Amino acid sequence: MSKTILVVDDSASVRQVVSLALKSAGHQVIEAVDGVDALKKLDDNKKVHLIVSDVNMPNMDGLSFVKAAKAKAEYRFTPVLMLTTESGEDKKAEGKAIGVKAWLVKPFKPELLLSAVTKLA
Amino acid sequence: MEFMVSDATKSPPVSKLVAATGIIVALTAQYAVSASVYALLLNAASLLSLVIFYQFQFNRQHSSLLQQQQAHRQLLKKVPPPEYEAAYNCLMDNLDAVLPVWQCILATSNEDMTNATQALSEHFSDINFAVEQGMQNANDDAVQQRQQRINKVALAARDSFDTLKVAIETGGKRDTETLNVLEQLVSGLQSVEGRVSEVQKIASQINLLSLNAAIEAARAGEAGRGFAVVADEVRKLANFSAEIGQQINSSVNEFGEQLKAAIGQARTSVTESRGQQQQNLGVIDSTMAQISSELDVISSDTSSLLALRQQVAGHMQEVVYHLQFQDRLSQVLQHTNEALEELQQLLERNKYNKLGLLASATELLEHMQSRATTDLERKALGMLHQDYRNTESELTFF
Repeated sequence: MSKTILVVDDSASVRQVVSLALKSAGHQVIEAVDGVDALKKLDDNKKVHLIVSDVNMPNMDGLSFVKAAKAKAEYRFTPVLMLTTESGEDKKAEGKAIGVKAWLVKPFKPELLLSAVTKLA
Repeated sequence: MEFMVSDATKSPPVSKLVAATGIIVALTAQYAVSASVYALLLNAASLLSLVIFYQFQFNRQHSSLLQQQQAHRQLLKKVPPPEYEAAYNCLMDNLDAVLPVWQCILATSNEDMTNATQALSEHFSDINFAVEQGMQNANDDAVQQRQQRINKVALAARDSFDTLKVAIETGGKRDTETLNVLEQLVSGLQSVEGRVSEVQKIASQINLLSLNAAIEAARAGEAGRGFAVVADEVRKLANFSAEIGQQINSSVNEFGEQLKAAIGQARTSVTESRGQQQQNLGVIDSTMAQISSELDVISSDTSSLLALRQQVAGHMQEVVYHLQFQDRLSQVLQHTNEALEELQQLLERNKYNKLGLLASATELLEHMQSRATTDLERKALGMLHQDYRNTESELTFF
């Protein structure tokens, strides 16, 4: 079933390939370039079923963005998948503590991303 | 700038201070046992404690500085001081010149790679979109449904053609049966002809008998006159019967000829029509064969299209996977650039402080370790013992 997914990454090529993988599976994609942009996009689009976010980004990093998003009542229970090159256990633990549901390390195989999306969204 | 610590700068030993304070306390205790003397004693004790504390701190820092100085001396021993200074200054000048160049090269390469990869991913996205559009209807379910519909239509056509064939064949049989009935009628007419000739024979014999009767009546004279009239009437009837028989015969003959001609025409027509039927049946068979063959081609094309679609989807997945190298490399290059910038600042800050520079090297390495986000960097910085190239994309659910 088609879902609306917010993709947050400072790398344009990553946004492009993530969108490509998600759109091929029939999902709607909203793109944001960093945490600040992502919060604005959340305010503009009230029906986001899943957030896929990078961790290391300028202006506002992924984990700070997720904290801010979870503080909004309408996104308190929106599932979050972190998609990042960061594979350190401490970062993962930090993500888990603020309510992140899954952690996928780049480079990702599209089928792995889609299986996670199906499970979460 | 170097700093030297000599033995002459050391403070007096603690034991001497303790002994001196003890003597003062003992003398004062002998001559004055008042409350003010006790207060003085307490102050002296506090003073002594402070002296001991600062002496301890001083000794610790002193020994640390001595160790650093010793390390520096050992370093200086390896290179004769004048050459070391010259080499050091040369290295500093070279690094001053080279570091900004490296930074510029790294930043430009990173930007170029990012732009190129972005363009590449946009093109692949467009290609994928075009392929998806082209094969929009080629998904498994739609193809199967279409195939089923085509098969259904083909089966219906086959049924209709079979019914038509049966109708044509039945029509042909019926024509033949009608012809056979007509031919039986012709043979029936021939038997009528036979009967008519028998009637004529009978009329002829009656005529003959009536002649005989007339002769006999004439012999009988006046008595046979009445019989002669009867015999004459019988002869007339016989002649009339013979005429009728003749007429019937000619009518039957005429009718028989006409019937034969009609049957001949009908047979020619049936033969022609049978030929046409056979031709039509042949057309039906060849049309059915053509439909079957076209269906096979459609089926084969659809299968090829599906296979092609799966191949394209597989390639796109690989493209999506491999295009992500840019993100990792971009981060590594950015961190390396930041490390180079930090190194340049450290060199600038500690240009005349070689020991400070040594301490900063450790600090720089620590900063690089804290900045590392990829396994490639962790491996290079000795933080990771496994081969980073073997790390597959990993998914963790919390």
